[in-house]
Formats: sequence, structure tokens, C-alpha cells
Amino acid sequence: MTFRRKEKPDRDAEFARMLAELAVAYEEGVQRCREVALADEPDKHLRAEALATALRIAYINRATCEALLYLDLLDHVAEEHCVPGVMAASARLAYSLTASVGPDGQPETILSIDELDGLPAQYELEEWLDFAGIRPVIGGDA
Amino acid sequence: MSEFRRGVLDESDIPPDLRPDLALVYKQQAAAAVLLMRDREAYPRLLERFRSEGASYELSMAALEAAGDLATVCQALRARQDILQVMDALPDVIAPPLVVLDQLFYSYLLITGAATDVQSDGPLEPEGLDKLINTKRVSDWLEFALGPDAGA
Repeated sequence: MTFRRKEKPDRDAEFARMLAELAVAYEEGVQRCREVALADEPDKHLRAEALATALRIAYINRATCEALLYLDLLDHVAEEHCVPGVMAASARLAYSLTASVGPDGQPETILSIDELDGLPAQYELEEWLDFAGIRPVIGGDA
Repeated sequence: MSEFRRGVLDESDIPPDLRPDLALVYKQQAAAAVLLMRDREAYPRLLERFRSEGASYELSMAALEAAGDLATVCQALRARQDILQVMDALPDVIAPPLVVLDQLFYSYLLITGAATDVQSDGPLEPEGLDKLINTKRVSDWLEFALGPDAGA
């Protein structure tokens, strides 16, 4: 009998890429949500940008979820990477962006500046933001 | 605002003896369960049309509307992280499976026709949605949120 070594994907590389993409999507989402929150009525250009950012979050979060479930990455996620918290906060950004472009307005679903400022604390992301090199923008300074 | 969303946000049918914040979460949870039941039928049909007919204004609006319904409910639920954590800790209560609802929400977004070529590979396949809904965790939650006849 011979033992054949099973090929495994490079999980460290997959994981590092996943984290980087989550961080980029989160940062872009926060920025876009600020622009939406500060606009009285998002114009056509901002609505298109909002949808593009929501789609980026959607795709990255879908891919991350699939990876966690099916590439066996779940056990590789250290707590300090805050992946569930980042995914939850990103989801809130995507809900807000979707509400700003949807066929009927849902102002109560759009995050306010105060709510955006509160996301890092709500999901305990402060250290992760520092780790990911994301500079928090506070208040209306978009 | 759609009739569905108006119903979700309407507080008039909440029992007066429940704490208002708890009652709202329970109401929104029931709305999320109704959406999941609706979309287990509606999503595969929309995805199939999107793939066979290609993107169109009508399909994009339908996908955006469905995503917007989920966004309304999930935003309201996630805003009450404190209550969700309490629900998670209680033995006889099942917190809403927000990760599953998110996968459906994202999938609708990805079939709005605005996705890039790479992103267009992202939506859940109908079998994947069924698999998620048929997990014990989600089945138990549907029964908890809608009553024992929920799956019928």
C-alpha cells in the first residue's frame, strides 16, 4: 500500500487575500455610506457608485462565506481578525447602500453618520481597523 | 414604499404587554421568516429568468426590490445587536439566521444586472439556498418565528 499525499490549496494565501478584500470592501462601504448620508438626495452618479460598492461587498461576503464553509477556513480564522464582525458591519453598509438605490425609498434603512461612527464599537472592530490600516473617519468629514 | 415594508415598519399590531424594543425585534424576525419562505420559491425563478433571458430593467428592478425588502428587515434586526445576543443566550429562543438571510440578500444584488463578469458567478445556486434553509438551525428558527406549520 502506498500513501499519497493529498494536495491542499494554499490556505494561508487564500485567507490573507480574503482578509484584504474584506478590509477594502469595508473601507469603501463606509466611505460610500458617508457620501449617501451627507447627500440630501443621492444623484444618479452617487446611486451608481452606491450600487457598485454594494455589489463589491456582496461578492466579497458571498465568497468569504463560501470559503469559510467549504474550503475549511473556519478553523484558520483567529479571533483578532474579527471576520464575523467585519462581515456583519459590511452587511449593514450594503443594506444602507441598497436602500439608497432601490426602487422605493427606505430612509430608515440608510445609516446615519452617527450610526456609521458607531459601527466599529458595535462590532468591536477598533483593533482590527488599526491592524488593517483603515483610518476611521468620524462625523461628517467624508 | 412597498406594502411589505410598510407592514414591517407598522407598529400598530404589536401586543401592548411586550417591551417595545423586544416586540419590534420579534415582529421583524417574523417578517424575515416570511421573506425567507417567499424567496425560497421566488429566488430560483428570478435567477433562472436572469440566466435564460439576460439582464433587463424589469428583472433588475425585481431583484433590487427583493434585496431591498431583506435590507429593511435585516438592518432593523442587526441594529439591535444587544437583543440578538440575549436571544442567542436563551435556551428556548432561536435568534434569526442573519448569515443565511445575508447570502440571499447578496445573491439578489448580484443578479441586478449591474455585476461585473467576475461578480456574476457569485449568486447562490438554488440547491445552495435549499441546503441552507434545510439545516436544522434554520428549520427550527422558521418554526419558532412562524409557528409549527411554517414548513407546510
